[in-house]
Amino acid sequence: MAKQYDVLFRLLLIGDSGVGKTCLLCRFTDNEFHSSHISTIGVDFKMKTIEVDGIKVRIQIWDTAGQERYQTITKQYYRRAQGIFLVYDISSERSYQHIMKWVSDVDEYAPEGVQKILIGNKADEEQKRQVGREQGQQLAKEYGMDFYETSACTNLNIKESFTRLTELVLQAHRKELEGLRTPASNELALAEMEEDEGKPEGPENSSKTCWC
Amino acid sequence: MQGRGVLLLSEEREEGLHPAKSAAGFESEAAETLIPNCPPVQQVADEKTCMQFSIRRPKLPSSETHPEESMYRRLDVAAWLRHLNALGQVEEEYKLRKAIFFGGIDVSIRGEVWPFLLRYYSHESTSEEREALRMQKRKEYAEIQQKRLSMTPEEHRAFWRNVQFTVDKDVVRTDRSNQFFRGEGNPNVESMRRILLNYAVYNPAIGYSQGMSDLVAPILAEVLDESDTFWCFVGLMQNTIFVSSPRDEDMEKQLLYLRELLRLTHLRFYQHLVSLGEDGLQMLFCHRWLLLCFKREFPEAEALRIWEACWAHYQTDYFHLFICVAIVAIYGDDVIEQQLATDQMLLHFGNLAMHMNGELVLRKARSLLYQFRLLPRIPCSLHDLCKLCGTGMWDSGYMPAVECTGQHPGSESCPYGGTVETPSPKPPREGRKGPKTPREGFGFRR
Repeated sequence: MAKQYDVLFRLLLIGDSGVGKTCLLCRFTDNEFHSSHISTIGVDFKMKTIEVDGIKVRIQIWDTAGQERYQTITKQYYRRAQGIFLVYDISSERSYQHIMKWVSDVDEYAPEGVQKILIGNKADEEQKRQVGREQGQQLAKEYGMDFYETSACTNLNIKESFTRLTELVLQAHRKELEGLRTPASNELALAEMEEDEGKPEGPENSSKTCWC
Repeated sequence: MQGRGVLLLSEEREEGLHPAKSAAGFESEAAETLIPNCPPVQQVADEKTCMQFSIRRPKLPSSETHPEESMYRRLDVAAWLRHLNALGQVEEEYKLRKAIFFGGIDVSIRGEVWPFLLRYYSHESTSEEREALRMQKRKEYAEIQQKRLSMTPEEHRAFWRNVQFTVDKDVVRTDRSNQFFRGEGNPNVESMRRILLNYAVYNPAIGYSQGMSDLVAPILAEVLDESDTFWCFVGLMQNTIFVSSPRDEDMEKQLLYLRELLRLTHLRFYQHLVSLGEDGLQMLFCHRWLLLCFKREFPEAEALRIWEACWAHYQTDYFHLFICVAIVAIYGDDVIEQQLATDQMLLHFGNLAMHMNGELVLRKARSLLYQFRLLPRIPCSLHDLCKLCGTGMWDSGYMPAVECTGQHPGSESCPYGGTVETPSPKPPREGRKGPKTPREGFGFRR
């Protein structure tokens, strides 16, 4: 059996409730779309392996509740993420306005160097549009993020945006990934990992050695 | 997904792995188990480390069931009427709650009995009084609604932003496969919406949190009347300790009790959580169980059976925690054997949703409560678990000794009068964690 993936990333979907986070995820991982999903309570994740630049990347995508009051848990998701999708709904001005709040949460809880991408979902609902495409671009520019308008319904820019965020995370960790495709260094990485296993668990320790 | 007992991860399904037969495991690569303290980027070493994902056909030997288990049948109309006297008062409330705890309520009379369990009707009320109460409450409900509809534009904007926006999103995606809420423009969806909006007006401190729609929908579908459902829901929010999207301290308290219960009843699982560190002890996998009282973990018929058993408040207000322990006891062996990491535990229990046996879990939970009551000593961390808003857990006069586990920040002595079994040279320090190795003697009799 061939090795199924080379690296594992954790990506996080955040944004107001009802903007379509779960739909984006289902479209990407299962290529399915259901217009009436149940609201996400707690947290779920799905996985998919994609190949970027010759590297098989297993991505674990965490789907959160738009309304999460339990901060202890929210912090845990953020802390473990390497990439974050900030999602609003182009037919909801409110969800767009709230992106600022979501960004401040990211700044507060997510590890430094986390990669972010802005998503304006439901691009198929042109007749209900409340947020212009240029508004999305403007906001993304302000925060230095890439921007996509997507539609889980019509499968617009889904693969593109997930791949892009994965690329960004890969780029951000290029150093650690160098030589991944040469067998010798792979063994080296393994040896290092075994060493890691002996280290004691603990938040202080993990914040230094682990950003996931 | 085929049949109960088969678990397929979506990717394996895509890749066309054979669907395993019931109760058979299959291989699934999950090399991340290898890496306890995940390094920045996980490089996969070896595909030999395969993980078995399987659900065993669970069984519960009769020696592990509550001794009174088979003495109760489902509460049907005839049995229900026997609990009422000529005036329509419930004669012996405790007996009724006990019967419901063990046997559940027949679907045909749920709408009639639930208002008692949810404390909308008091047990002492006569039929006549209840009719009067309903009329009065209907008027009150109309007033609450009136208040909502006569907000100033400014108030309304704030209300829309904080409450209505989310309620509108949620009601159209709650229980829509249930016949009662099915179809476009279903008036019952509109009723549900009004109940939730009015509740947020009635109790602005709580407002609306996601998950409430999941809790109110089944009540509406049984009780049918909008005002009655509203007041039942008010009772539910008041009398149950789990409320959807609780504040940090509510959730922390639940998780603390659950951890302690696991330590007492399922030490190996507890130790596994401890070995995973803080993330493991957060028990992500059971948050939804608590927030929605298992509604998304079991098919509706079984979930509602669990709700009734919890609402019966028989011997404990925390029966839902015994349900959690029962799930772990029945379906958690793989977690320990394969040393599943935090993420994989979430996946494991997430995949079990709608594939677990609710009746079995209930039986196990009842047995766990029974065994808990037999304990000669309980740790002081679980002292409040035994307090009850109604009749106490140890109301029969017997109260087990309380043993101090030494977790009382800001207090010198144990507020529950717990004694430390083995005198330790050092007094418990503030904020100290409980002993890592639980003492013998708390184990359940096998």
